Amino acid sequence: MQITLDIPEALLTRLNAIDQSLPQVLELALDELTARPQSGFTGFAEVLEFLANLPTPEEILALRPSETLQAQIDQLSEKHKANALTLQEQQLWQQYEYLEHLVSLAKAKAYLKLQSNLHE
Amino acid sequence: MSKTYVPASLRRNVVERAGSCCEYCLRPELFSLSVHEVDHVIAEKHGGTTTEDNLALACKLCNTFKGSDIASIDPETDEITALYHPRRDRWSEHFQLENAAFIPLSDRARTTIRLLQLNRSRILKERSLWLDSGLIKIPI
Repeated sequence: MQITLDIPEALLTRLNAIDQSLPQVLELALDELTARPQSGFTGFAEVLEFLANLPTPEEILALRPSETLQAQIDQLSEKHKANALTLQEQQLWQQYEYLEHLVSLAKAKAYLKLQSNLHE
Repeated sequence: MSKTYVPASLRRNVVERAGSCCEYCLRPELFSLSVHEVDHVIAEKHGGTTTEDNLALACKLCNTFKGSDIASIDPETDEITALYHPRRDRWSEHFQLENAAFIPLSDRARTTIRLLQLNRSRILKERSLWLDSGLIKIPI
């Protein structure tokens, strides 16, 4: 099958250099594109919405990621282990690391608050 | 990456043995967003088995930083060095807690601290709260 494309002059120069392998290049680019998450990291929105309901310390301790968020974290984790994160995914992973840090602080403080209430 | 399924009863034993704390950074599971995972200390691709003597409880971050690695570069000697093995190595022979920081007592402790970022500034802040909570289980 043949397709006709309008492309900028500068890109044409680069394409001329690869000439015969253009179909493979397109295939690789498509793989890369579809491997990327459709949206950004959803973790912060999820945790902020949770916090907007003024959770109790017990509720903070019980906080776990939604199924969707967990799937996203797991996918990033597997790619991190395989050293296969794209630049964009590296940023998403760093956002997760930061979120895990903040939630960990909140949970520990919630626990300490509950303990001090017990001893009052 | 195919991985052997860890049966629920085996997972329970691993969690219980670890006191629900990550066996690398010591994070109590109660204080993490993601649940802790069962780590193959020697990854399956290196011949590690799904048996209690090769399993450890690890938080999501430690498990991710460790991946399937069993060794890394000692930042002091530049030598390839085995990572700390929670089943074969005694924690107290390799690490010491000073405030919230891990002081390495061996080459493998140094190597593990670097690879798993066990003394990053964020975790030091968290660890001092874990210590205050009394939920942290310091291995012997």
